[in-house]
Amino acid sequence: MVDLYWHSLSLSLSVVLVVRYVLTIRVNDHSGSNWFSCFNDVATELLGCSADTLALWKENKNEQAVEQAYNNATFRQLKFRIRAKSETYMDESRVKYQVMSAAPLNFADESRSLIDAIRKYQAR
Amino acid sequence: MAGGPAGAASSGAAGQQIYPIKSLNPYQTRWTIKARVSVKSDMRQWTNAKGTGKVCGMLLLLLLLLLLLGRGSYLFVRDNSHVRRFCTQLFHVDLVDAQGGEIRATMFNDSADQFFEIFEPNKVYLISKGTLKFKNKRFNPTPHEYELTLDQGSIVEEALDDRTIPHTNFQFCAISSIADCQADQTVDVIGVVTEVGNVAEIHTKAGKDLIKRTLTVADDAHGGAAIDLTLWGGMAEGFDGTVGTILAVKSARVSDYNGKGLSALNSSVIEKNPDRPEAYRLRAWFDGCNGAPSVVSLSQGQYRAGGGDGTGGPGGAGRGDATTKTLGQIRDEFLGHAKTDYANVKATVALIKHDTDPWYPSCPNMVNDRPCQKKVVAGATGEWHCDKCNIILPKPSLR
Repeated sequence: MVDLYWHSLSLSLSVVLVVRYVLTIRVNDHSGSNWFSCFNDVATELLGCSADTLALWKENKNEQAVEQAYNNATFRQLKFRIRAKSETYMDESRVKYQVMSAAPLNFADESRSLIDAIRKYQAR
Repeated sequence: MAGGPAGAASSGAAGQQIYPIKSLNPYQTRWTIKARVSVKSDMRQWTNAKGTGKVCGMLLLLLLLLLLLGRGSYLFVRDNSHVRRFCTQLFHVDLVDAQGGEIRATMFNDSADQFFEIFEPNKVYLISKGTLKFKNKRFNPTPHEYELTLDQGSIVEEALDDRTIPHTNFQFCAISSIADCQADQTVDVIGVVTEVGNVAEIHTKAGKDLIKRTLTVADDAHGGAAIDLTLWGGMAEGFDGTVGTILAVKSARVSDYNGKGLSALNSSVIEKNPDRPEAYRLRAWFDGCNGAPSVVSLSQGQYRAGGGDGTGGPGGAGRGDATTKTLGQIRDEFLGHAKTDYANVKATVALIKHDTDPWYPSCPNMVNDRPCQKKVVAGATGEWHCDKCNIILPKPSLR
C-alpha cells in the first residue's frame, strides 16, 4: 500500500504530507458565547487560505502574514450551521459543536426573518 | 424498416387509425400510435447470472474470432449465435403523443441494436405491434400504467413531423407543493434559476467519484418558493445557464435530505428557456422583482448556512432541518445532549485559537480513491505512522 502512493506523491526521497486544519473558535452573540470546532474545508473558507499556506508562511517566519490571516477572519459576523453532538472521551461525556458550514450573512434573508419576528410581537 | 417495408407501407397507405397512447393496454393488440421521442436513453449493458453485457460479449466474440481464425476453423457463424446469449443490453425511449399521453418503450438485446439506429430524439414515429407490460414504478417514472416492449416483430416507421405533438410532456407542479412530496417521487417543475453553484466532486461510499452542481430554482406559485436542484456528471459540467435562466425539468427526483431537494437523473429532461407560456410568466415575475424574488426555500443545503430557516414557510420541516437559534438557546435547550442536533446560528467570531498550530499532518494513503486524511504521528526515529492504515511513512516532509 505504501508503494502505491510513494510513487505518486514522492519527489525524490520524501513523502509529501498535506496538513489539514482542526480549528477551535470562540463565537459570541447577544445571548452568550460558545466554542465551535471547524475542520479543514470550513476552516479553509473561514481563514481564506489552506493550512498548507499558513504552515509555509510560518515555516518561512512570515509571522505577520499568519497573524493577518487570523485577524482578517476574526470579528466577522457569520451564519453558522452547526452540529451539536454528545461525545464521550476518557469516560467523560460532553457536547461538541462542529461547524458544518459558515457563510457571510445574507442581509435580505436576515432582514426578512427579523421582520417576521417583529410581526409576531405585533400580533400579540 | 423494422418489420419489413411491405408491412409498413400497407398499414401506412391504408390510413390506419391512430390510437392515443393513453388508451394502450395489454388486452388490445391491434393498434398504431403516432408519437414523438422525448427522451432516448443510452444503450445499457449489464451482467447477470446468465452472462455479461454487450461489451463483454463483443470481447468474447473477438477472442473467439481470433482463436477460430488462428485454428482456421469454419465454425464462426455458429459460435457467433452462441455468444449472443450473453448479450444483455437495453435502451428505452419515452414517447409522447398529441393527446398528452406518454409511455416508455423498452427494447432488449437484438431489438435494441435494431431500433437504436432508428429512434432519434424529437422525431415522430408510427409504431405498432409492441407488447404492453406492467411497468416497474421504480425505474419508470412515466405517468402510464404500462410499459411498451418492442421486439423484432414490431413496426416502427418515421413519420412526417407533426406540430400537434409536443416535444416533452410536462406536468408541472408548483415548487411549494414539493414540500408534500415523498422522497424518490419524480416531479416536473419549471422555475427561474436564482443561484448557480460551482461544480463539485464528491466521493460516494461505494468509492465512486461523482461530479455535481447545485442550482436553486424558484417559482411564483403560492407566494413563491425555491428549491435546490442538483445536476450530475456531464449535465453538471455542461450547464451554461445563469441566474435568470428559466429551466423546465421533467422527472426530477425529490430528495428528503436537509429539507427538500431535487435531483436531475439520467432520465430527466431539462429544457432551457423553453418556449412556453409558463416560462414567459416566470420571466415577467422574475424581472418584476428585479431578479431578487422573495421566496421561501424548501432546501437546507449543507453548504449554505444562510439558506432559509423555514420560519413561516410551507414545509421545510424535513429531516436534518434546522431552525435559526441563538447561542443562548443552544445552551438552554441542551442541543446535542439527548441526540445529535443541527442548528443555524448567527454569531461573531471572537477568537481563533492558534496558541498551538491549528493543523495536523494528514495521512496521504489512498483509500477508495481518496486520501485517508487521518492524523499521522511522528515516531522516535523520524518516521511517521498512521494508526488507521497502519503504515509507516519514512522521512516525510510537510508539503
